[in-house]
Amino acid sequence: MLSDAQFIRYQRQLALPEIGENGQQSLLDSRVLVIGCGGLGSAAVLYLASAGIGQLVIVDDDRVESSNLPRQVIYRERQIGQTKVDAMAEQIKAINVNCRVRAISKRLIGTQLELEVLNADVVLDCTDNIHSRQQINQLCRKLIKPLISGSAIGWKGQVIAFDQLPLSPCYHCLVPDSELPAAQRCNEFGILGPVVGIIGTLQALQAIMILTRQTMRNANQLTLFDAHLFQFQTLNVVKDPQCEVCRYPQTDQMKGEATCQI
Amino acid sequence: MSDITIKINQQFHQVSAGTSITDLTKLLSIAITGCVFALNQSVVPRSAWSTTLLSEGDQISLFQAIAGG
Repeated sequence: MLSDAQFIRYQRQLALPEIGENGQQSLLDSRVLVIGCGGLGSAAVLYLASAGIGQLVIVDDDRVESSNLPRQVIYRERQIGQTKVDAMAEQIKAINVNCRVRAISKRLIGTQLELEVLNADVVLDCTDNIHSRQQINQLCRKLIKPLISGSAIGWKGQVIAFDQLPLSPCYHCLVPDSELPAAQRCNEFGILGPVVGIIGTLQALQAIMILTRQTMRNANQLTLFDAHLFQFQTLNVVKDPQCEVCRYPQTDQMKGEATCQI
Repeated sequence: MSDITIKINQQFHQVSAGTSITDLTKLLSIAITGCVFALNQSVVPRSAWSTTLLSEGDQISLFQAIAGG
């Protein structure tokens, strides 16, 4: 049950019939794992904390640098040199003191990453490398956690939410690579703040929609943003029957479902 | 063999009938790593590239998966 203060604070969003008091309560009760606190994570976390997400778990092993500030808009000049997660946690508290934050200042691997994915309601992949992306996808698929994967470089951005249903694709179906060509990192290729901000903001929007149990009309659809052309394009992504990450669980689950139906 | 006309990223191209996506990567000398092909607004998994044959009027989106954040 929402308190009077919560009702007043979140009135504009709970006035939306698709959200309502129940939706707001779901947001307050939910835990979101945000992996990567760069440009995507900065934008996403601003909106998630503001919307009243109950707990944010933020993960990054970097420190704030002056060259981050044009696009990693959650940080302030005085925070240069601090760990990103501590600086971000401070900003989250300034936005919404009721949002609980767990700051993890290291690169999560193996069992630790698995535990964090397991405890999350939704996972946001805001990382800057393909290796982490594949690892996060594998765990989200295994543990059936909705995964919202965003990326941006140059004038382009990509975002997709995976619902992890048995017949749905995973990130590896879309990108079956363990390496990507060089010049994929922001420090080599360049990036503009609003471009990465749009993608991070879309990730926050998708998280809010999943957490308020709205039908995921855009599930498993890849949205491409071209800032030069000022255009969005949406493509269907289908399951790769040969995918080394999701083909076996699919077979097992399909067998299970078939048995239930009979 | 007869030629067909397809569109790749809004540009017209002529290719032989029966050209697969794998053939197209060779014709265009495209590095496969990180490469994503969508045929008529649907992404084609890489394992299906060699068996996906192009038809007259097909619209292809060809782009790189990006990982920056």
